[in-house]
Amino acid sequence: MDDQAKKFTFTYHQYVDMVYRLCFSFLKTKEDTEDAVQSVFVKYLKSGKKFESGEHEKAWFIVTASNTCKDMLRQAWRRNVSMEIYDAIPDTCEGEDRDVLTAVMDLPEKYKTVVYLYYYEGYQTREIAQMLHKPPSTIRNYLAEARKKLKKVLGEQGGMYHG
Amino acid sequence: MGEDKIIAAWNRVNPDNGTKERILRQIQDTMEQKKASRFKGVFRKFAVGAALFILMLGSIGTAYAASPAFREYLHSLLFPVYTPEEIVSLDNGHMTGSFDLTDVLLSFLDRFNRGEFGGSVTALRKEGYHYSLYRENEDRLRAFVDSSIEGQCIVVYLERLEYEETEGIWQITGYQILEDTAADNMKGRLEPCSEVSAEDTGVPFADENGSEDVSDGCKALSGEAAIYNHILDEYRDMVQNDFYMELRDSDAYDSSFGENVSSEIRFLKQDVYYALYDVDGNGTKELIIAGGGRGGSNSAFSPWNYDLYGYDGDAVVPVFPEMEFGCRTNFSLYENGIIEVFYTSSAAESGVDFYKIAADGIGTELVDSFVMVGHLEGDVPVFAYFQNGGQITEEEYKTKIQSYEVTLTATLEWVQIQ
Repeated sequence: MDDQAKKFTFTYHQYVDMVYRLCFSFLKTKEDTEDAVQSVFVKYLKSGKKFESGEHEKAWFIVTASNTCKDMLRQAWRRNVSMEIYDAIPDTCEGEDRDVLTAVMDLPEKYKTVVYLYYYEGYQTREIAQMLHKPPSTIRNYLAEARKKLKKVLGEQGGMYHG
Repeated sequence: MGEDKIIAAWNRVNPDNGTKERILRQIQDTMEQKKASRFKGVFRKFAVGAALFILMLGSIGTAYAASPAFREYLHSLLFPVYTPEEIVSLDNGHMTGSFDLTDVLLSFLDRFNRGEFGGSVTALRKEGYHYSLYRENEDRLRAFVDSSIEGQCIVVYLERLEYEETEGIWQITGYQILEDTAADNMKGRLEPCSEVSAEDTGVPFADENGSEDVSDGCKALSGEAAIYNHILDEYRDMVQNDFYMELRDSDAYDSSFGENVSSEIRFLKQDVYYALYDVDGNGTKELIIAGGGRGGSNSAFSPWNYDLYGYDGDAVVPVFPEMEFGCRTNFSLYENGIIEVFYTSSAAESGVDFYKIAADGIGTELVDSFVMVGHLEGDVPVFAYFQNGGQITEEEYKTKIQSYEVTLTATLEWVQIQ
């Protein structure tokens, strides 16, 4: 394996989990998620992009993964496909985790990335705003709306916050 | 609000090792296939070009008389005006896609000069690239870029694609090398972008001579504003030295930046701007340093604020000496001398403080302070809202903040530091 291939393998393993999670939140099926992940890393390889820092590189993967999934979802044939996300969630995800994940994935597209980046990746709203090219106030609104929706959905399913 | 549960749930979505390895193999296979198909593409282009050439020879008289485009093409072959290649289409144009037209173009030119597309011509780079933009239609532009070869230029084709909730994403779709005379002919059929509004593309436009008309970032300020020259010099030095990226791993890196350069702007290479505006209306303009995008999804140019300087009568001083502005804390200027400082300190807490520059022109006075804090009550997330320490309702919180956020009537004239 040459140096370039080694470097790519390292980068792949560094970001594949994050890219996979993000893509899964959009696409909801394992097969589509794998396609999207593959596409993101192929873009990375083809771009030959030089990053100024690890954070910059990570942000590129987040934005590219998000855009790739949106592109896939925009395809006309996909819009007509009704996906049963309960069947798509990994078998290892059970009980409360499954309900929470389902609720998050049921959020409108525009909220999902923001929720993921804020809660899971730990980005601040200002950072997310810069990354997604949206005003910070919009990101704050998205988060607030997402919180309301999560609270409602989880609440309706009964005591999802306890534990 | 159950964020630990959200994190725990997400952790279950990680792919297993088998899946990761399978995707990795697919990526490697895809890259191998693309290498092979690239050769096929080159052959196909050659075959199509040859066929077109034969057809053209058959009806050359008619076509030459009837079609200016054909005449241009024929001239290119005979004299030659173009390079031997036809317009080079970029199958990976989307890779350079961005909301920022200039970013797309300059990234492409960097790659072009690295020889990623073959050929011996490079884009001339002398204190930046020199280019002028012309419009084919609202979503298609051509950049005429000076090349390293006298009498030739590089024409870069740019296209804006629709993108959800934005004004579109710009991509490079192709390029060609033209002799200047052919380029001038082509320009004659297009519309100079100086007639396109900044809102159309989100960038300042090049004039006929190829220099951006937003500013002359190398000129020193004169008159009263000259008091800020030493600060602008520090930023200019940073920009001209590529944010000292080459020193990044050395001990000299930190000391390379001028002492007035905002600590947060250092980490992300970006366009840097300044504007002068009399925030407190005392007759002396304050200096605002900003950076980042050129519009993006916003119709108005609104860069990211990084610093605010004032003049205390003797020296230039930061208006907020204790604060570092960037991603987590930032400020906005509003009418009536209001400076809004907003911050998020954690997932559960954010705040907005409103200041005015003090009456003596030194330091600031806190006008009002608002905080939003979230906590769990049992299993339910609850947000509390405070004004100067006293609890208020969510509605009051929003209304009171909005009452301060009166948009500036004056337009800030941003000048790029180059």
